[in-house]
This record gives sequence, C-alpha cells and structure tokens, in this order.
Amino acid sequence: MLGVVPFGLIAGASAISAGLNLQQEIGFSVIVFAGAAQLAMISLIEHEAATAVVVLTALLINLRFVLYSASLAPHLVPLPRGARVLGSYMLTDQAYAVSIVQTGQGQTQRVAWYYLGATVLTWATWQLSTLAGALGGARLPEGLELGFAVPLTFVALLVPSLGSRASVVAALVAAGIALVAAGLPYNLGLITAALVGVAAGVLVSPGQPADVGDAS
Amino acid sequence: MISSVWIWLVFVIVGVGTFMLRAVGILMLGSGELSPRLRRWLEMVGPAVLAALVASSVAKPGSSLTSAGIECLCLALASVVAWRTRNVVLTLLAGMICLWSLRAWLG
Repeated sequence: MLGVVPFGLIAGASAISAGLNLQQEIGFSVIVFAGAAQLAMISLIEHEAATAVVVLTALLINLRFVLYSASLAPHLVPLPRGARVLGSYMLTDQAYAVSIVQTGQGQTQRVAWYYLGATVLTWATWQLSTLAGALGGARLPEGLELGFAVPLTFVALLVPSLGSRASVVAALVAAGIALVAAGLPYNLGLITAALVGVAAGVLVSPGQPADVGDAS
Repeated sequence: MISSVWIWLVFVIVGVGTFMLRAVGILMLGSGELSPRLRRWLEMVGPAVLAALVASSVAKPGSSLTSAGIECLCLALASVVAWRTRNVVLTLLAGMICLWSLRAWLG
C-alpha cells in the first residue's frame, strides 16, 4: 500500500504541471481513480492528443480490471450490494494483489471484508497523496528525478503479473513495439503496442490454435 | 489552456467506463466464470499494457542515449528486485538509488 504514495505524489504533481487546476486534479483522482491511466492521460493531454485517443488509451489500460473483477467476484458474494458497488469503484492493482493472496485459506467472509478494507485504505492514500503532489509538486527538487518512480511503479505491478510464458511474450512484444512506435501520429503508440502485445501473448498461449480446451 | 468543459467530460467518460470495467465481474458475474477464451485475452492485457507503459517512459522524446541507457539499467535492476521480493517499496528504492548513483557517477 505504501507504494501508492510516491505514485500519487507524481500523478498529482504532473497533473498540475500539465495545466490542470487544483479542482480539476481532485475531480480527476476521484472520478477516474486509476494511477496508470491517469498518468497516461496527463501525458496525452499535455501533447494535445485527440479526445478519442485519450479515452481509448485510458480504457485500454484499465481493461485489466475486468480480469481482477471476475477473479474477485466469487469472494465478494458475502458483501451487501452497496459494499460491492463501492468495492467495484475502488478496485485497484494494489488492493487486488494483497487480497487475492488471502483467498487460498478458504475463509470467504474474511477475504471479502479484508478486500473492502484494502480498497478503502488504497483509495484514501491515493486521494491524499495526489492532493499532496498537486499542492507541493512544484516545490519538489528537480534533481531528485522523482518522475522515475512512475515507471518503477509499473515495474512493480508488471513483474508479479508475469506468471506464464505467454504473459512474458505479451510484455516483451508490447515493450518492443512501444519503443518503435513512440513516434506514431495521434499518440497511438501505446494503444498499438498494447494491442499487438496482447495478440502475441494469446497466440503463444497454450490451447489457443484449435480451442480444444473450450469444448466443454 | 485546457478547456474546462472538455476536461470534465473526458474525466466523466473515462470514470464511467472504468467503473463499468471494474464492476462487470463483481456486480454481474457473482460466482460465475468468464469464458476461457475471453480470460486468455484479458490475462495478456495487464502484462502488455504495463510493459508498454514502462517502455514508452524510456522512449520519451528528447532524452539522450546515455540517459535512456541508465534508465533501462535501473529498470532492469528494479525488475529483479520486484521478482525476488515482490515488494513495491524495495523496488522503488532500488530503482531510485540506482538512478541517483549512476547519474552522480556518469553525470
């Protein structure tokens, strides 16, 4: 959860330096509440990318939440509906990661409330750290190069997600394309890299060609 | 200057879209399961998107080759730390200390 703090500070500070005012920055963190997507959006807004590119890039980055949501769903059944709506809005990589490792112990009730606690804590940490970044970002010394904390946070999220050979292929292909495609028009580099990476991963994942395993 | 109406509209569209992506499993699926085919596609999204984000941070325009090389090296070191420890704070520390030392050393 502590890893969210530098990430939030940077997101808050870069939103302000991209031209958002404080009110917009707070609205951004509350309404979108997704660090990776927020940072990518800020950079696109700074480069005056087309609205469709900003929206599609953000939603593509957040598409991974569908998988988290589906894999958490059975464990959250004991929660009342309102709590599940809240838990959906607050779903993050961090809360997912700390909660899913709890599910092995078979105590669904406990996992559900553990998850809700983790999401609320992550949400509050994100709001406070982005606000702190927005207020104090301009005063951070340039020499500290805290901007580098952003790709480092992505590394910290990426590495545990590399559980299979296919996911390693997806990551390597996406990274390679992102390097080559950085100059694509309309800032489409990230979308292109991610889509080609996903396709490459699916192609090499076991059972893909004939979908034999899906017959049931 | 960023148009105020436009920026709020973008936030709301992305916010609502992101909520739907987050809610689709928890609110609609219950104890059901995703189809294996959809699952296979979705499993690749996290690795691909995050790797693309890391790579494009290195490939930002205007950075020198030395600077990009230093960043690559530190990202590689951070990856090893992340792999070994699964600890975000240690990963961040390793990467930042690597960057500061290499910058101090190589200018």
